[in-house]
Amino acid sequence: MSKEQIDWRPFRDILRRARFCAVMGEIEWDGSADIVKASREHLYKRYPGLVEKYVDRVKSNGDFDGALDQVIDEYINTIMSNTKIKIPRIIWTLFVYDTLRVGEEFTTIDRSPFRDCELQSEPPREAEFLVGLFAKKRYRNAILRDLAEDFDRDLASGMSLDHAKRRYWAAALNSLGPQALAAIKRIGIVGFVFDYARRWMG
Amino acid sequence: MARVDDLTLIEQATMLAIMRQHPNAYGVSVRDEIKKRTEKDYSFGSIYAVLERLEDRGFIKSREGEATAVRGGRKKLYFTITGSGQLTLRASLAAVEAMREGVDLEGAWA
Repeated sequence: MSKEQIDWRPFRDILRRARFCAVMGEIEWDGSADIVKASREHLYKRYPGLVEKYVDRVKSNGDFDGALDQVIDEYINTIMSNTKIKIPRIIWTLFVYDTLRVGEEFTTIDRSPFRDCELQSEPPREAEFLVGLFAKKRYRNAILRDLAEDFDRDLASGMSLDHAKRRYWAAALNSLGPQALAAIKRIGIVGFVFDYARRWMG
Repeated sequence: MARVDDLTLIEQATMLAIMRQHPNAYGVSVRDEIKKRTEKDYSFGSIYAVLERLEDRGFIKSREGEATAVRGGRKKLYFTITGSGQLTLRASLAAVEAMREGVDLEGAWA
């Protein structure tokens, strides 16, 4: 199966959308199992012909199981080589299996190894660290969570991971000044420097 | 008129955004509400600095939302206006309105 024959973009968009829905509280999030469920629903709603295309291809091959494994393997390789989102292969595997086999029994698929898998497109750790240094303890997690929500929103809108990370950095750096000023007002310049040094040294 | 505990423009905007977004007023929704209505795009650092000031003065209060599995279980922090916050906001807006009353803004420039 060549790259030209496979439209991998719907999967990327659906995964982003599913992740965004989870962040916004629209769906319950339970690791990879829920992203598969949400992705499949969105896939059928938004791209009704896509799944049938691959199911037909598999069924027309006669040797259903063997053909399915081969198609899935090629499909996953193509998706992974085309998308910049770093998602573990194991999640893609489950996702594609579920998508192609929708309506059938999944008793043969052991889902337990997938439970602990998470998406790897996380905000830059260094930026989070900097924000955490200056933010008041009470608001630290809330600020980081809000910044992450913007990050997820960017990804869900179709923005590339690199672009979303740059925007996260910009938002994080913009937040440092007001938070530092608030800290200085709160504890004075000497206390602020002392507190900064204490946090920096752990 | 009784003495008004001064509120800055961004403090007024933040408190009004919290009231508009109630009961879903947290950092992102407050920032978005202000941006939508005033076209001013404040950073989260600025928003939380204002929220901190308002909370310290007793004009708003915060509560943590439920933890979710995403983002390491970080919780949303929801804000609501207190009674004294409403009184102060009302007085502050009334002071602005009193100053504005009768001024012809269209013909006020030199």
